[in-house]
Amino acid sequence: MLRKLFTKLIRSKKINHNINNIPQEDNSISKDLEENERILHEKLRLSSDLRIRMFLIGSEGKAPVSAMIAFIDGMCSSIYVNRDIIGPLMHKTVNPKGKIEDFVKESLVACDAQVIPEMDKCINSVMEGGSVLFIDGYSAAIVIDSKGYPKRSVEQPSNEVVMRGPNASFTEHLRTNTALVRRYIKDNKLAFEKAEIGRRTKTIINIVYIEGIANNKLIDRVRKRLSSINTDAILDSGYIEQYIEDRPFSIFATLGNTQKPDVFAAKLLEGRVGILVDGSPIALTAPFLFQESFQNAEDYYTKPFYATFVRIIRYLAFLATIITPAAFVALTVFHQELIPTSLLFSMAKAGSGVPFNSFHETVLLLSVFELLKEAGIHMPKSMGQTISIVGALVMGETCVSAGLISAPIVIVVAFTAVTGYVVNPLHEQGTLLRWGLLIVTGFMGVFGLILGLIVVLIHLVSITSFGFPYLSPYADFEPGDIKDSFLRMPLWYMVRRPSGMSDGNRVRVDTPVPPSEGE
Amino acid sequence: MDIKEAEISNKQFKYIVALFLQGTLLYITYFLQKGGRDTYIMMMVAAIGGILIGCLNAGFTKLYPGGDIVTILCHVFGGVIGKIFGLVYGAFFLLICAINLRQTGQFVASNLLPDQNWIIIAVVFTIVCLYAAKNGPGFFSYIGAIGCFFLLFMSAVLLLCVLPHMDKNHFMPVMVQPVESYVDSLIFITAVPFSEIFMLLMFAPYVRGGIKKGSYIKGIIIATIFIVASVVRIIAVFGPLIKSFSYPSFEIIYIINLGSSLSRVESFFSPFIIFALFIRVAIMLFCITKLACRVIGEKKRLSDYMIYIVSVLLLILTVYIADSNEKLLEIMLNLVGYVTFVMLVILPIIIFIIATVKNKKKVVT
Amino acid sequence: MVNKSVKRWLALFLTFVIFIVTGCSPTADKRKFDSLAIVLGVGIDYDSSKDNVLFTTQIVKTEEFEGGKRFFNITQAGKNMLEAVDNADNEANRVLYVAHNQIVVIGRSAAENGIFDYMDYFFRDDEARYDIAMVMTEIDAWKLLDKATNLGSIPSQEMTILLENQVAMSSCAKLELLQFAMESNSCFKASVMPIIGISQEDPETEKVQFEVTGSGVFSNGKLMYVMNRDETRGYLWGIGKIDKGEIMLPNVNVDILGSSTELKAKIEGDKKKRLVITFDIDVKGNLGEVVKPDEQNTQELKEINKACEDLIKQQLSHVLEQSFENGCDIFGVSDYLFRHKYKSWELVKNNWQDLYKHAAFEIKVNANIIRTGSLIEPIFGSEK
Repeated sequence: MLRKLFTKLIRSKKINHNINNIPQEDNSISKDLEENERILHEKLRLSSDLRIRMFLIGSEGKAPVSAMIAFIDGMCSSIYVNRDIIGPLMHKTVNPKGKIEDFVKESLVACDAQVIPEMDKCINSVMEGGSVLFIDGYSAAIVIDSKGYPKRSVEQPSNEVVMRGPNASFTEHLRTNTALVRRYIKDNKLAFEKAEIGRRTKTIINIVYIEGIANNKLIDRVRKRLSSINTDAILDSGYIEQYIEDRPFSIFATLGNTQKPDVFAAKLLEGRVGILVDGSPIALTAPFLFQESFQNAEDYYTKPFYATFVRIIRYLAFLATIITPAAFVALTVFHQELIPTSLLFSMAKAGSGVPFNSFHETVLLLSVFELLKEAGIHMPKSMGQTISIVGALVMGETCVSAGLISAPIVIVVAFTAVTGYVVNPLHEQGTLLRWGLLIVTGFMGVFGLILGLIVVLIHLVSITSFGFPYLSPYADFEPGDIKDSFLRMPLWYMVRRPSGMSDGNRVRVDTPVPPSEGE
Repeated sequence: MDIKEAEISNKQFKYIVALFLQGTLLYITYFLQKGGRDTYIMMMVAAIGGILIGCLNAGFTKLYPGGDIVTILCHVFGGVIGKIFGLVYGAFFLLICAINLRQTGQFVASNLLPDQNWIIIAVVFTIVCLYAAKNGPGFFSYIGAIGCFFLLFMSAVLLLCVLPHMDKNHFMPVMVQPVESYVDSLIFITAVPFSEIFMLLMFAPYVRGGIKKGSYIKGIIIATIFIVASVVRIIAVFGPLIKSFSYPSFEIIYIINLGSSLSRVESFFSPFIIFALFIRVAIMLFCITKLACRVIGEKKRLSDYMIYIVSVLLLILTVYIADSNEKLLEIMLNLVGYVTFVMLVILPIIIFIIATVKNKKKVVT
Repeated sequence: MVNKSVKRWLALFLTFVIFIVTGCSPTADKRKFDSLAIVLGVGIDYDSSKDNVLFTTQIVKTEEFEGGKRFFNITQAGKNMLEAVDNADNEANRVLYVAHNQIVVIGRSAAENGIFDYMDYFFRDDEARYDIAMVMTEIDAWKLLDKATNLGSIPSQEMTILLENQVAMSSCAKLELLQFAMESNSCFKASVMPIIGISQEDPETEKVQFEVTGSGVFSNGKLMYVMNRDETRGYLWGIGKIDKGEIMLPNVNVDILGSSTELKAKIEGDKKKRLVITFDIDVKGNLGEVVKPDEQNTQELKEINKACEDLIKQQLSHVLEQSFENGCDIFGVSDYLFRHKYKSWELVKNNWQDLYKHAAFEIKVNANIIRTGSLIEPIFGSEK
């Protein structure tokens, strides 16, 4: 009951897509060119990069007509405008008469040109990088797509590098991203639905799905949640994620993200819905299940045996990273009987001069590790070596010999750190869980550790991601889905799409036949 | 795995039944006190009784599709008396839950955390069970299958570890005790774990298509395998000492010695045991809360806080139920077994007969 | 209405406060390694003059040390075990941590007086371990635990290793705490506990070498009689725990590869009941050493077999007769009757002692030498 109240507070009103909140005095375009110029200058008086070029269409002809093209310097490709719009029009001998649509059809050399009668839409297009052609005597303007702003080329992804498989990454430009996706799925059922979110940033996003495969309820859910976002700015897909996710107060993410178009395409083909955000190189996918954090693109491009082995190692590594410090504290503080006798002697000897309890040592060293990590992410490249020296020598070696901490704890923290990076998508969650379990174990030993794990389990089970239980396929067990969870069966064996996600179109290929030998 | 509401299927319900019964690990102390060397035989016979009780419960759901205990009682006894009866049953379930919680608390306090007061352990445990029960039947259905196999896996691993210490001679001689003790132990073992599945009728409104008796039967079989394996292990290892230990199902772990370095591993096996106990108490908490909400009526405000009220009552009852472990043992062996048999076996049979007669009358008229 | 997330944080904070207030805290000092006295061995003696039990604990020194003993012993007296343990706690100034205890040494005085009174402590304690070995000594336990060994390790560890080796060589049978408890709770079985003594003592450094000198037979918790090494061997034949070792005949040594024993018993007679015990022993061996090859050729393997069988029969008979004399059922005949012949057991269990003293026995041995090592005929000393 309280949850509904709370969610109502944050998702209050439904916003329609036309969020042109510019006060509507007079939105029409005047037939007088100078009037239009004046309006443009007035509305865009704060933009010193606005350019307006007056020229004559058909200047070599008998009755040239005045025209004006407006664009923002830096956003528009001036070469294109000069060469393909102003140039040909200036040298035309025919004059525009009759309807403006006929003029566009006959005389305008531009692959993307639309006739727009409203001034605010024209201004929006100018803001986006297009150029607008006003012709004297017409009460509509022609909006031409001439975007030419600086954009990054397609590079390798920074986070999801694979050894085998494509290494392209999304960029900040939406059109490049959609093109990259289309390169993998050349199906006409691939849908790109456009929406504009953010009152000031007016960010364009695309809802991507394959019609016939994706569940219609899922698509509706995504659409509904996106349309209820009411904010000024969308700067990155992370903003969208935080507005539409299922459980804002959970540490677990319910929307997946990826930088790679092949991964994105694979998820679409399974029946998921994707969201591409202009200005962000990270694409979102919904729903996102817990097991997806343990899947890597490379698993699918190699043979199944090694892939299964690595998957199982990832699960164990995640478990190790959240449990190891807590288990060490439980063993040394509460349950010393589990330690083999000779190891107990050496640990007692190692810890003999140390003033701290095992729990305090672990907390201390884990904090130091977190600080080192944070420093390492944000420091300038030139200081890299200093941090590694300080970290390794001072914190590790010298502290142990000074008797501040004992040697076994350094091993434990180092192991925890290494295993924490095996499953990268769950890195933040792993850190938080690790601390939580450590503190609970400090109070109640192994019993506390078990209860902590049970609480995490209860939490995971109660999360749904866009209507799907977060722990599928382990929760609500359906044997067919185990083929791609902690195992990775051969590709020719995974004939069906995950149940529930696809709308009746479950079969991918016809028969599960291994490639025939010898032919 | 479709997008759906919190509805559970029969398959998942079977695992809930199995998990509920597998949580009776600590009851094995009492079974051994009553049954002695032949406990495993009594267990298997009692399982048949349990299956019959399961069929009885499935009969209830057939008579009242979508209805739970309160519906049945109200229909059979009329509105007011039915609700009073419902409260009586609710109090009785609370008593059973309190016994379980008391056992858990004392078990953890004596074996895992010797410095701790058992009341704190019970409080923390209750908080976690509360959190689980709040998520409704969806939680239990989701972890049902995995939890079940988790526990069976532990049982298998324990069996393998303990195998060198097992001696089949400890089972002999078979069936030489007086008949009265067998009847007594049979009543106890049928009543105490198996008849408590009557509580699970509170899940009936959530099960898609009504509870079929197949799920009861399969669930009971899975749980029986688990409990009988535990009992057989204990008897084979401890022989004449089975009646001496407080928690033999846990103390059996003390003798594991793999190689010469892996011994004293009880802290390693304790997650399984605590998980089993947790599921049982969480399921019971859910059933009692649902019962209380239905009896009081579905007034929104009280229903939301009902689970907290029930938890507090549970904790109070846990503290005052017995002064010590020995007293608890006495109460269990001499009193609770028989009361459970009456309330959860005999009474439901009577209610079922009355309900069938009433329904037939309704059909005829 | 209060925000749900605020409520959650409040609940978490309250839980934290409850924890700290009620004192469950990781800062409890007694759980630090420094403050644990790790006990590796325990000894029990009886002081008849004061009717006290003497409890000895062997605690290992974990800090750096230059030389001298790596352990120290604390011996305390008390009216019962708990009092003695409490006194030991006080003397040690630390908490005695018995979870790593490996051995319980029972001195002769305590063994003769009866040890049932002291055993409850080992089971009721929450740090109890059930698989630790029990041994006896002819001298006082505290004296034995005080001796440093030649190898420099701690006596308890040394004794444990010695015991394991001897068991592996089938020279004695290990008695674990749980086993002792089970046997004490079964019908009339007597427990057999190995005896550890000192074989050599260096008079200057006072370092010793331990050895297993035999076994003590306990019935009802009291020591009844002592068996030497040969008799212990006979006992092991009876319970089927001989897997290695040698049978030494006048001319030949046989290496034992494995053996199995089956014990059967029955009650015969109508008015005067008689107990008949049958042993069925199967031995497989390897020809270890031939001393006087003149008298040996392949046909004599049969004679070697026969000689082995005779030797085993003789050893086992001697042990049996000794047990009849003392009335101690060391082979668990009463258990066998209880388990497999319950009806007859019910009739005779009341005068078991009498029945056992006058029991008859039959030993069948089947010895088989299946290999002769690397030689098929002796090389040295034979006339060709």
